[in-house]
Amino acid sequence: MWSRLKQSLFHRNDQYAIPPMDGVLLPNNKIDQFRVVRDSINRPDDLEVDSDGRLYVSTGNCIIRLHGASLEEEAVIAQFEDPPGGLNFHPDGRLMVCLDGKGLALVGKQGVEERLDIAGDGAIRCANTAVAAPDGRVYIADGTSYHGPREWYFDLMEKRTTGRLLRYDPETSKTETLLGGLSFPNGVAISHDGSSLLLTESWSHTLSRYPLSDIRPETRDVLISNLPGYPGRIVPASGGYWMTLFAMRTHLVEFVLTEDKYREEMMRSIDPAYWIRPALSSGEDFLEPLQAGHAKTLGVMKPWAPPRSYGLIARLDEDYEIRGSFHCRVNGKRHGITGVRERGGALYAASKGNSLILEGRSGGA
Amino acid sequence: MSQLNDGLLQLRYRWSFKKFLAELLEKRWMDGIIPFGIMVCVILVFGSQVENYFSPDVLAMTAREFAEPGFVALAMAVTLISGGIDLSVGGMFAIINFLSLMLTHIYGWPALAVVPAALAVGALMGALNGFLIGFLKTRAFLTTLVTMIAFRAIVKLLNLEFAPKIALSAKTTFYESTVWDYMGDGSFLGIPSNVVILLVVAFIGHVLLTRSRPGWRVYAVGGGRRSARHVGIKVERTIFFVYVISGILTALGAVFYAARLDSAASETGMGLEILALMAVVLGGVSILGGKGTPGRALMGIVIVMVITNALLRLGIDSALNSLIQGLILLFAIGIDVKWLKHLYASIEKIYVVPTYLSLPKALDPRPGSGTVFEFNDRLKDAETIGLDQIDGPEDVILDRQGRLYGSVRQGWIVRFSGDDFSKRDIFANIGGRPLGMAFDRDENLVVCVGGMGLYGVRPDGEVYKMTDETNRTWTRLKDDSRIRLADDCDIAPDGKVYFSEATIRYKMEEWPVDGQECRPNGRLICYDPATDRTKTIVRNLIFPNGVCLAHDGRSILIGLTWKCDVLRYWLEGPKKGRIETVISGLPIYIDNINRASDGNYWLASVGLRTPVYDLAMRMPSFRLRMVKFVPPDEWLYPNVNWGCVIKFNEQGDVLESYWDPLGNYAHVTSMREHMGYLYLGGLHNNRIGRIKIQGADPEWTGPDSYWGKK
Repeated sequence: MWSRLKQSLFHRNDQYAIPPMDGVLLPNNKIDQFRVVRDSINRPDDLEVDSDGRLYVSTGNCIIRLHGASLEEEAVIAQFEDPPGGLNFHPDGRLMVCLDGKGLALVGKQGVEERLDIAGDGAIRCANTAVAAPDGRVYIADGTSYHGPREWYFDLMEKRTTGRLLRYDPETSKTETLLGGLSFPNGVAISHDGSSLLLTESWSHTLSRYPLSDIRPETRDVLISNLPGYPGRIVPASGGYWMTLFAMRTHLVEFVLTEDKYREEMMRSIDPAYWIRPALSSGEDFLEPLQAGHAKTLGVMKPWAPPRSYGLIARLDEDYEIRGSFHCRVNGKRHGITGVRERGGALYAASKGNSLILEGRSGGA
Repeated sequence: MSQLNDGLLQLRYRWSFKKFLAELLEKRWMDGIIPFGIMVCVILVFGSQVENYFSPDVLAMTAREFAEPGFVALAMAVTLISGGIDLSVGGMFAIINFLSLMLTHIYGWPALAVVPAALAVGALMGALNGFLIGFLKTRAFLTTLVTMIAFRAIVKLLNLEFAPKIALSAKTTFYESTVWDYMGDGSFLGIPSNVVILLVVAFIGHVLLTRSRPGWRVYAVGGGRRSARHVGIKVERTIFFVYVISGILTALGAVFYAARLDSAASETGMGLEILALMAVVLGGVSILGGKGTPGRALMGIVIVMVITNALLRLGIDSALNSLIQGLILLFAIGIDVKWLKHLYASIEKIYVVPTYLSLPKALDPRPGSGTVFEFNDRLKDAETIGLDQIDGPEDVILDRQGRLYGSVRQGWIVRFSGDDFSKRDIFANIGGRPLGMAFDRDENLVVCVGGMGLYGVRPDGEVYKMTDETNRTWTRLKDDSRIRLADDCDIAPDGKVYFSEATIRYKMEEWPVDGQECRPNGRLICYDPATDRTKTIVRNLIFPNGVCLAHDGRSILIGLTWKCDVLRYWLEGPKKGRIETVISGLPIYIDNINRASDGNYWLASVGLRTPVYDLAMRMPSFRLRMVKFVPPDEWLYPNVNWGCVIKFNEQGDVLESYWDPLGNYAHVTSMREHMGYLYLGGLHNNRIGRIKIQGADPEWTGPDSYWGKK
């Protein structure tokens, strides 16, 4: 009773809960020092590395493979009608590709070998990431049942919680819904010991863990709550995990999310490019919203201005504690990092916002 | 329908009770509203309980008793305001009382000599306190506690020695003095003499304290000793004189007391310091210093005395009397403390009152739109002047010699001269935030200074004030006579200076908050150097910014920043004194307007309208909550990172636009044409730019255009 009263009286207090970027998340410009592997590559979404060190990138409508000493060579290995997203190898050697609005494709040596479009009680509209457990079963984070991955910001601004976690068994070709009502599940990974499943939910800013043998809402163990940004994918690192945060939370966006009248009118009457919302890149179009902190002074935009877009990769240790981070700040141009992979001391990152493939040292975080 | 709706919404948000309340609470005299209320209540309650309380005779008698502690309360108030305290007032009171009686009864001095002598002794005792506290820097509380004990001891000694003599002389020789008698029980127009003097002294003290330099120094010292010292106030001397004055005021009270009662009793003045302290604190004089007025001290003493007196006359037991008195005081002080504590926080909470503003759909400035505002790169190759040597030239102007002036954040006018403008010097240091500039007929530079008013700079760099005050709007609660944010000016052929004041509700550094509020808070003011008179000519404009005299000198153009309109105010002709809209609903936020050589006008844009900001303008309550709940650095803003310059003609048709794709001129707040070039300034830019204008008259200069060739 009292807490409900307090909630209704001081319901805005929670927006001050955006934690400051401090300690292990203290801003730096390490992403700005990464080597550019490819620029002007069409909005790369995710990366995967095979055992030979070749890099697979989902970009535009195709999957390309980069190889060579400094990844200077390039080959298209698959093309789709819809933009591909999350990439991961299945233990059987096939590449699992998430397709915008369509579900999952399994790409083998002969090209697309299998398609998975329907799952349980509804089509897969927003497969963000698919990952296979050692037993071969595939776990799929289906962000929302309303929009494709490209339209993630609709889902945020509509305040949807219709995400699901699905499990697909290639042997029986059966799909089951393990969890429903999630806030845009985005990244999914299997822990190093193979016993747990890690899941990020973007709109609730959390990383949680489920025992792989028993995935139910009741077995959820929230590892990190209240992240300062929207978590994206999470992938294994040598002795820990990498987690991308594809955009940061701001007070203004959180405020607009509480202002239903304004939010609805904005969504009804204004081009989505100009909404008050997080974005993967910003600063290009002058009809975008501007916040006080963005105003240039003496020709300089301050790096600590409120981030409409941002570049951030967080490093987690084996106990799922954040231990370090790579940043590209507001005045930088390597924002919207959606994919990251580590291989032999190198860290590859896909900046979807600024259409870049980057390479840094994994030890630097 | 939607227009009707717009109109209704506008009306609904136009007048706001909250705005009225905030401006009311902001008034200085609202500080004392609680003591005043208590005083009225106490008088009404006790007045109705006690019979004949308001009959003239009774009132006069009661008032006569009020006056003497009243002087002591004034003394206490002054010391409290200065950040100290004077506990020795009771002791001094007793000494002076005794001394007065000695001088009159034993030595037979005339009353006219006794009074100055008593005051002098009072001053001397005060000087002792002042010397110890001011120059030797002892603690006020302990020092006056010690002197209180000392003064008391002196009274006792004197009493042993002289009391019998006084008593004897009072019996044998009757002291005769009309002055003394008049002081004791005379009246002026039915008001007791001591009350008259008290009111006169309090009034003079009030004026001196609140409206004179020495008075302000006392407040400054009380408010913050260290800051006062830093601004150059002689703290020691100020404190010294405060205690001297405290002594004199106490002495004055004591003389009246002596004249009235003729009593040399040794308990005279006992507990007077506590009574005075209670009264003064109750009146709202802060015990921490720097706050309160003599008027409020008097209110306090009236409250205390009315309670004491009434309870006494209601026949309440004296112990109970004290208890009731104490409880009432405690209650009142509690309320007052809470009031003062929360007053400013409350004002801050309710001060910003956004209003409804629906801007018409604007032409699309995006690349490929094909409109006159279409984004281009015409400022891309602008030459740079004074890169990193200048901090925010809000306005730029050139003189007949081709020297370039910029008004910058440090309060300077920076001048660039030489063929390539490489020589930089500080032409004048005005202070404040210099903004719009114009040259008058005699080549004085007229400058609008944010936070100060309208100033002039002679060609030799000498700064002089033109005006900082205009006529007050009497129908408005908020005192708008001071000019807070003069923004841009221009000069008519008859020498009158027309200038805009962007907003009267906010200070220079708070101008973005005015943008959130979007109320018609600005005005157009005219200053006439010939008569040295200032007059507000147009009120209720939404952030008037640029001001430019039309080419024919018959009207002036005014740019309204948040409204995105250009208005014309007719100075002469059939429409004299009337206002009409020249351009409405530009896609950009308007800053300065200046003449172009081809008979058209340049207009600088401080920012660009964005769809989400336009929507927020139509939702005042959204903006209000944003201002409250979102940190200022994250407020939604107009897009001030993409500046542009446009040109429009006399009819208000926009002819062309100039954009900077590099963002070097992130926002342009001013531009001047001079000999075929256009010079660009910006409120937060680190440079002045210039571009060559295609087809411009290479001979044309601003001063020639205004004042003819020389």
